[in-house]
Amino acid sequence: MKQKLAGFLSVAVLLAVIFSSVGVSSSLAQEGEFDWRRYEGTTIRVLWPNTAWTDFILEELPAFEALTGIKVNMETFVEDQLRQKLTVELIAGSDIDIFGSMTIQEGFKYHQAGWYTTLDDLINDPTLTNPDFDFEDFSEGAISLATVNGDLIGIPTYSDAQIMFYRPSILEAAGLKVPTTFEETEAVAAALHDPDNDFYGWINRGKGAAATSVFSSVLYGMGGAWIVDGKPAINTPEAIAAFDWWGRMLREYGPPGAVNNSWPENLQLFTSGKGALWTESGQAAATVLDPEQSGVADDVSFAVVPGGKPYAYGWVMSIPPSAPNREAAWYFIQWATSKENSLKAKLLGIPAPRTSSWEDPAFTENDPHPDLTEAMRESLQLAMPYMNPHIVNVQPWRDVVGQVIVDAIEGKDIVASANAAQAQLEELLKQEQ
Amino acid sequence: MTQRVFWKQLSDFMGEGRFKVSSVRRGQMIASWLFPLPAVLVVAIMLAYPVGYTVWLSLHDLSPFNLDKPAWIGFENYATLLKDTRFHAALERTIYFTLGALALQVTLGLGMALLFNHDFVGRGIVRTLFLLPMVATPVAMSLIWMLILNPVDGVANWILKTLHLPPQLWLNSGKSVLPTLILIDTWQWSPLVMLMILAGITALPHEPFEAAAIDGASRWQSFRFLMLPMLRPTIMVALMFRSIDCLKTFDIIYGTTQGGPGFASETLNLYIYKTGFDYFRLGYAAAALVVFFTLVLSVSLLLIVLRRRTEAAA
Repeated sequence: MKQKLAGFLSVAVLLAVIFSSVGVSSSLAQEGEFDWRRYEGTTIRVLWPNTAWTDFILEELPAFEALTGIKVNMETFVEDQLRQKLTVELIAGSDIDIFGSMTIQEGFKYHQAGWYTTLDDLINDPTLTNPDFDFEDFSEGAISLATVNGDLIGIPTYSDAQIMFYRPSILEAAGLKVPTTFEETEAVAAALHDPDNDFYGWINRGKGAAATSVFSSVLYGMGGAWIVDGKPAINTPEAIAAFDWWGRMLREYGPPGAVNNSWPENLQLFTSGKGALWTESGQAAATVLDPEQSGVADDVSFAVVPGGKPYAYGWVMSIPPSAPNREAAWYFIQWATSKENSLKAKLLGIPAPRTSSWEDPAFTENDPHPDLTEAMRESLQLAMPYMNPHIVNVQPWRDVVGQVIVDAIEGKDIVASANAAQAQLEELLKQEQ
Repeated sequence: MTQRVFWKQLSDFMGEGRFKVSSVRRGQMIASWLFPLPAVLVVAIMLAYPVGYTVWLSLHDLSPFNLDKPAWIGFENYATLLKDTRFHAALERTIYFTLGALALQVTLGLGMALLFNHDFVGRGIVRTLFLLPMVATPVAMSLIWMLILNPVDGVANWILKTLHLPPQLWLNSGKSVLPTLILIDTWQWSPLVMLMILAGITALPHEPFEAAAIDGASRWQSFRFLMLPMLRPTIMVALMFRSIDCLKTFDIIYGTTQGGPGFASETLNLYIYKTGFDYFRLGYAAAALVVFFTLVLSVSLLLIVLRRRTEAAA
């Protein structure tokens, strides 16, 4: 009896010790290790593009200001305006603390101009980085979007890939399967195209420079590339075949005047039920699936793009060397890209850069669109970082290639147009060297 | 002479007649420098400096990467412009747009002026309505025109379809984008031409027309041989204003197509804007600007000379 009591007591004491030590260590983590209020009273200035993720983070912003006492002035712009404003301000060395960039578009230019700083020092400093931040949680693909010439220049807010949107009921009614090759895609588009009733078999970008990124999946899918052996490869047989396919699809099975359509116009067409097939960045799914903004929310599904070479991209948060509040800026970045916020955004349909968000039961058990998740995961694995060539002068490159795309859609001589573009691009690359 | 009297009075007022003539002269000299000085300064700061700086820039290689050390490259930017096919195409488009817009606007403006020169019921209201496009904000108007001309669900094509006419691509085709932009510009600026010509018509003397009517001239004859020659100086002024503006048109093009589809509506101003603010080739953009500036300047000079001649002839 005594022995039994002693045994019971010793177990109880042991349990008490274990529980109390857990309690002690967790309170230590809360109080001693990370001080969220260290930069209380600071105001930081953020220049950021308008995206679905932006809408999400703006809504969460008061929580950050309450947690840290740091005030955030977030100025948001349409992409092109953001690029112009950033260039002017960063040249002038203004008071921006955080800015957004798409490394695949302007990464090499900004890196060369010295507008990025590497973030390793901040991530590795335990007094500045919350232990829950867990940098290793970011997927390899996402980190590659935040790396330029081997330097980690920011933290990805989301990593997105191009996917195909389609209307399952319409394909089913016509007895058609979801296309995976370019030939199948053309056949499906041709079968469903009904312009007299304002319904188009294929919707995509035709607006010059804006079209080159989505076009890259066809260029690479047909075996072409932007640059081969350091020279532009716009007039190779593979590239010509890609321009030809892109032009024919939009000319014959697309909406009239596709040469002025970028993603906003196409989003409008698709959500108003005027298109059968469309390839676009996965982020657009958030709008397409929102019944308040979309007439096809209950009749849309997702697949890997034809040819299986989607592009990946993402907006990355960086701190310029001229930032007046580098540490407070880092507080905001680590909070905005935390596990918690990444998961919250994921639940809204925004593709997360963190592995944990995709695997979290809160997401997997409540995933309202497993078809979107599957298409996104598969596409992110297949995705290639060749939406744009890896050069400094991306914008003039895109403008020149955009003209070939417009010529292809308007049924002009593609070979002549591609040859003219090739000459201009060779000149452009020469300037760069 | 009157100036002298003025200075005398001024010096009398200030010095109660104690100033000698020489000091009046000195004051006069200082004042003749001092009084125009604000205007001279404004012109120097707002005009001469930017133009001079642009010319200086055009002789340098300047981009965001070498802001602190722009490299002197002489006339290399100009040599590159000579070979730049995109620049040549933009120049051609600018001329095409200007000539097209001028022809339409002057013809329509003259027609409208003749119309509003007659009395009819509701003339005031109609004339005010005709002036509205001119006061509208160009960018807002661009967005509205894009909605109207949208080839899928715009009003313009709906009207054409209702009239059993083939729908058009308007701004969404390399072929029709410039003519469509000319139409938008004409919609907006013909009223200005109308206003100027109407003012010219109102200032014309009545006697020659009365004399012509007595001599049995038809209305066409009195328009063709009296009104038109007498209006020529006014029309030349309208042409000058509009041609300078047309050459420089930016807002409605950027607001609708940003120079697209492809490069199909990329005029000189759009190309220079892109080179400068998208590509940040500042030296090169400056060289293109200098060429553009010379073009606008020579067109205006030509029109001024022509106007003097018509005035002398009249």
